[in-house]
Amino acid sequence: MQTAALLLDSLRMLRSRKLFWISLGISALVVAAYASIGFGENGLSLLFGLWEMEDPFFIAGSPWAKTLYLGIYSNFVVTIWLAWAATILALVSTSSVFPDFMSAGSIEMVLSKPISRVRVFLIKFLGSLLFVFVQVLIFCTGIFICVGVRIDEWIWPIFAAVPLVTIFFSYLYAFNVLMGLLTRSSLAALLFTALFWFALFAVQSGEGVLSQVAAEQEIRVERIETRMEGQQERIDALARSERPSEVRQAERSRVEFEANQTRLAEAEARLAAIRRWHGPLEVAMAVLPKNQETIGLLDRWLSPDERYTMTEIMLGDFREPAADATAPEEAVEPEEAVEPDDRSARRRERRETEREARRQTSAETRETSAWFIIGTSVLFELGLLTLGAWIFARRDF
Amino acid sequence: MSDSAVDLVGIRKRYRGVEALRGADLKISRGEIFGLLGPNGAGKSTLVKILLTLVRPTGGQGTVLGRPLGDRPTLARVGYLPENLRFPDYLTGRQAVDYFASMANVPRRTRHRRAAELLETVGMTRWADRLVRTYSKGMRQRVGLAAALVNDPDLLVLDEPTDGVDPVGRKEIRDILLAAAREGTRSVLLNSHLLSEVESVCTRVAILHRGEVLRQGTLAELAGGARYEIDLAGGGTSLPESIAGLVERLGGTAEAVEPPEDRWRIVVPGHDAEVLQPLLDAARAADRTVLAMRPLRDTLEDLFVAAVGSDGAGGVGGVAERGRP
Repeated sequence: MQTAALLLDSLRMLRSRKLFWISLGISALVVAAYASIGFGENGLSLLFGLWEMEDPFFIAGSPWAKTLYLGIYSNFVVTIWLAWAATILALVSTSSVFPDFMSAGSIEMVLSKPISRVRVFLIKFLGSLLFVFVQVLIFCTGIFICVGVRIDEWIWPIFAAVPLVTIFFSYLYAFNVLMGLLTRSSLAALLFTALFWFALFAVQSGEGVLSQVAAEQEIRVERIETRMEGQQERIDALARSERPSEVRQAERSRVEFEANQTRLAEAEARLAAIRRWHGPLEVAMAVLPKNQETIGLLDRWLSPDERYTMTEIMLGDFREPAADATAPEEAVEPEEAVEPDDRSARRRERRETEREARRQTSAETRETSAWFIIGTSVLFELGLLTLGAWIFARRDF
Repeated sequence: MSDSAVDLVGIRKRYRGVEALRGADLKISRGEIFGLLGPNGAGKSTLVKILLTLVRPTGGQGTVLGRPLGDRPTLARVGYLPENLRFPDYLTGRQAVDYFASMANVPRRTRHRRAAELLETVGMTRWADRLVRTYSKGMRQRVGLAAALVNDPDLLVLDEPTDGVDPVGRKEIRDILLAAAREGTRSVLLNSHLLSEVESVCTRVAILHRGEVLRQGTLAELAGGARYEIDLAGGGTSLPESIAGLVERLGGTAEAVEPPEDRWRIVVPGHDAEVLQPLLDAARAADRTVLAMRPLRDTLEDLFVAAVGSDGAGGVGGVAERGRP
């Protein structure tokens, strides 16, 4: 009865907040914009057919059209609207819940009832999450209908955004509540939460960039090593010859080999330096809430077929003739014939290296267990909540 | 079952080096309206909040409704109206009462009926479905009183219930309070700095000063200084020996009241009018007119000032008339 009363109170509070309705209104606009994207026989259309774009890949019924439509939802609509703008609105709206609740004349009436403080604290916290839960549920219902109509498939995993975005919000809100308890100010709590969010973003982005750079460097090291193996074989073969031309060639190869040895040493030193920075960030990432990865799970669940992913669309690789799973692997075979002095070849090699590294990191991210991503994040959140509940339970009001 | 609704012994509370309560003892019997008095910063609110588990005592022990201090289930039998009450502004008066009834574990069937009855009692039925943010301070206090009574508590704790309420509203709240106390064995703890209010409704009081209970008891027990004041006129400027002797024997005083010069005021200690009859007879025999005879006692304000001294009086907003009959 007490739990129901506290949750009902949270719903009433929710309904009374203008930002809730503003957020819901913007959600409706976003759903309408999403619904305006369509796929025909010749390509895709925007704004309910006002603007058409011919494309043989994005036609009605094609797997790429489905990947694109769902990818727009999981990579842009959810990431930008739900996990960014709507989250800010939700934080602004709910940041005052605990400071207001703890103000004199308000909290005494509740805490003087036969209910444990920890229970009050946790139900109040969960009640505030309703702000996001209800929003995302309504939003996803709209998206679910759009997808059903546009690609003629009723994809239930769309609703995975409801728990994912709510959990994502809860990471930030747990910190917000703790700050609200400590400062008793909704504004201060909001500012500290913004800093915390920025810190998470910085750590995640830093780790992501360093992962990518480390992967690129590893590929470079491998390539140099492969090239040196070839050169060593060539030197060994030429060393047996006494013909002057082959002796000169062997000498040239030896010079190149030595140059590659220097390059290898430099590349390994760079890799070691990158790993020195990457290591601590990886540890921090393992402990801290994984906002981006939590939201990224949606993309994983919505496009389980790894042949058709948004990464491929964004890299433009799907347009290649062999647009299947093995094609990208073949495309990054080390090019032994590449002359290091050839600028265009070097550029091509660099691009290939970047693409390969991006694929590798993307694959690694996709391979990370959802239990690990959510589990470790929730563990951190539970730590914040335990501290918050302890402070709330022991404080004199 | 213990006779005491509240029995606290040696309650201490220290806030970051400041001792708010220094071994306060308090005993409230079942069915009585008890007034807690004290200047600002005396520790009244802290003591009340300790009863309600809102503040953890640093030391001491006690019982509330027969259960150890801090026992949470006991709170189902306690009603509380805090000072400067603030309801969530998105609730209506009815929703607010209903919400606190749920929090006090009042069964759903009883809850709605009881809320309606109490809103009627506090005169808020007409505005019950309006948002509390539209209410005046007095209206909020009335709804607060209904919320405090909604679980039919055995102990009702009211912290400055009439603070900010107009005189008519104050009287109405006092009447509701008296009616609530009359319902049965309900005890009421009234924390107020309005001495006249406490004096008019409370059967027992405690005076708290600098974290200690200085005095505690019924008003009659505390109110020493019961006396009679007699005004005489006529018969000359001097007081006859027959009257002066009797006044001295009764332990009283007599002094001339000027002008006019033939007026005398006699003050005799005690509350028994019978012992004054010879004095009145002597006055008539000496051709003196008895202009007035008034029984007097010390007011709560007198008691309060005597207990806490001049430093405490400044913090009291009481307007009790000194020497009121």
